Amino acid sequence: VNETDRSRWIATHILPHEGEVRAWLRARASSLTPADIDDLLQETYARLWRADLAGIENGRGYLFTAARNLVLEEARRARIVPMERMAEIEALRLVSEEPGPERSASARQQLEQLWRIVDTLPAQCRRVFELRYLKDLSHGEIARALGIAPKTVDNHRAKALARIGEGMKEEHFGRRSTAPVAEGAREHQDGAAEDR
Amino acid sequence: MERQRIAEEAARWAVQLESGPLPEEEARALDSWLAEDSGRLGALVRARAVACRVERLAAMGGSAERTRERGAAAHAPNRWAIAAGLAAILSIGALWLATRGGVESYRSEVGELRKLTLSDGTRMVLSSATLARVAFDGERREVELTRGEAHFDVVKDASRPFVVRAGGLTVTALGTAFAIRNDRERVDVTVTEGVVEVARSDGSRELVAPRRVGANHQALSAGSLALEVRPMAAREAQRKLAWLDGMVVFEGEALAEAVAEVNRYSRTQIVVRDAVLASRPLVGIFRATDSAAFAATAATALGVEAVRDGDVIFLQVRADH
Repeated sequence: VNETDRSRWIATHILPHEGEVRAWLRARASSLTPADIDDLLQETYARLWRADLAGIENGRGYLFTAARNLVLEEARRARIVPMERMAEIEALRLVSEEPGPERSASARQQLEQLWRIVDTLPAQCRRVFELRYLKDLSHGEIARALGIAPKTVDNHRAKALARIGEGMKEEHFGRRSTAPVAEGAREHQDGAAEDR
Repeated sequence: MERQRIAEEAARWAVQLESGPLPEEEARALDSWLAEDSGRLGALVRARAVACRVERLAAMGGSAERTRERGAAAHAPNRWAIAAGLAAILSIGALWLATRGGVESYRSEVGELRKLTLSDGTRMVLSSATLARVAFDGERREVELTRGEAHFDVVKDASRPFVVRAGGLTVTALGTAFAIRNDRERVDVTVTEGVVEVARSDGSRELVAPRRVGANHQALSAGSLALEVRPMAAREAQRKLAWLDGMVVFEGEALAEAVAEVNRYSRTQIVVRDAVLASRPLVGIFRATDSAAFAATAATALGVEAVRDGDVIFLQVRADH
C-alpha cells in the first residue's frame, strides 16, 4: 500500500469515527484528560501507519479496541494505577454494538459541517480553500489568481486543514459547533427526510 | 499551544506531501521534524487523512455546493443548478422524500430503535413503540410526540425554532440535545446539551410560564403537578439515555419499576408475582430488548425463579420456600 492509499484508507475507515471514540473515552474514562485523549489518538494514528490494513475488517471496531488497549498498556506500564482507572478500563469493554454508519454523520452532514468550518476561516484563507476545492484550481493558479506567493497558498491551506482537523475531533464531525448555519444550504432540504 | 502548533505544522507537511514526493532537502527536513517527538508521526498521519477526507467530501458535494457560492448568484439560484445539487445528493445515497410543508409520521415497533435524520440535519432517535409526527416548513420545525420516547440532537437554525409537543408540554430548542418521554400520565424531558424552553399548555392556553431548562436538568410534568425542573447528575442523564445504545440501566430501582421499563421494549411481558419481591431493589445493565435475559439475571440476583408461559415470564418466589 502506498502512502496516498494508506491515507485514503484511514480517511475513510478511521477518521469518521474519531469523534465518537473521543466522546466514548470522555464518558467512560473521565480520569483521562483531553491531552491524554489527544495523545492516545495520535499514537493510534502512528500505529496505523505501520499496520497491515488488509487485516482490519472494521475500522470503527479497530479504533475502539486500539483506544482501549492503549489505556490498558499505559496502566500496565505505570507503577501506580488509581482504582478509578481500573474501573474505567472495565467500563471501556462496553462498546456500542450499533454499526458505524448509523452513529456517524452521513457524508452530506459532514459536508455541511465542513462548509460551516470554512465559513469561519479568515477571508483570504477561505478564498484559497474555495479556489482549490470548488474551482479545482491548481496551486500555481491560485497563487496567480490571488497575486500571492505559492508558499503563502500553502500556509493558508495548512491553516484551513488544521482547523478542519480540529473540527473533526467533535462527535458527528463538529455538529456541536456554534458556527451559524450557512446561508442557502437549506434550499434543497426543506421537507425531506433521510431514513437511516 | 504546543499541541496546536504541532497540528499546524503537520497540516503544512500534509499539504506539501499532497503534490507528490518531496524534494530531497524537504524530505530531510521532514525527517528531522518527525524525529523531534514521537507524537509527530501520528499528527502527520492524521493530517494527511484529514486532507484526503476533505478532498473526498468536496468531490462528493462539489456540484451541490457550487449552487451556494457567495455573492449575487446565491440569492437567485438557478433551478437547474438546484436540480443538479439534488441529483448529487441523491447519488451519495440519501433517501429523500418530497414532502415540502407536509406531515410525516415516524413509528417504531415494540423493541425497535429507529434512527432518523430529519431534513434539517437534526437527528431523531425513536425508542420502542414510539410515534412522532414531523411537520417542517419554511418557518417552523414541529414534532409531535404522540407516544413513547425520542431523543433529538437539534441542528441550530435561528429562523426556524424546533418545537416538540408531547402531552401538554411544549419544548422549544435552538441547537441542543434532549430526550422527551411521553408516558401519557407523565411527560419527562431530559436535556443533555444546550438549553430548551419548556411550557405547559392546554390547547392554546399556557398553563404555566415557560421555563428554561439547561443541560443536565430534567423537567417533569405529571398529573396536577405543573412543571418541576430539577438538576440531574451527568451520570443519571447518561443512565436515562442508555436506551440510545439499546441498554437499560438500573441502580437500585424497585423490581416492579425495572420490569415496567423492560416491558416497554418487548412483546414478552414480565410479571412479578409477589408484592414484597416487587419492591426489592435491582442493579445492573441489560440489553433493553432481551427480556428473557433480564428475567433470568433478576431471578438469580434476587434468589427467585423465572418461569415462562408463552409470551409471559413470571418472576416468583421459589415453590420450595
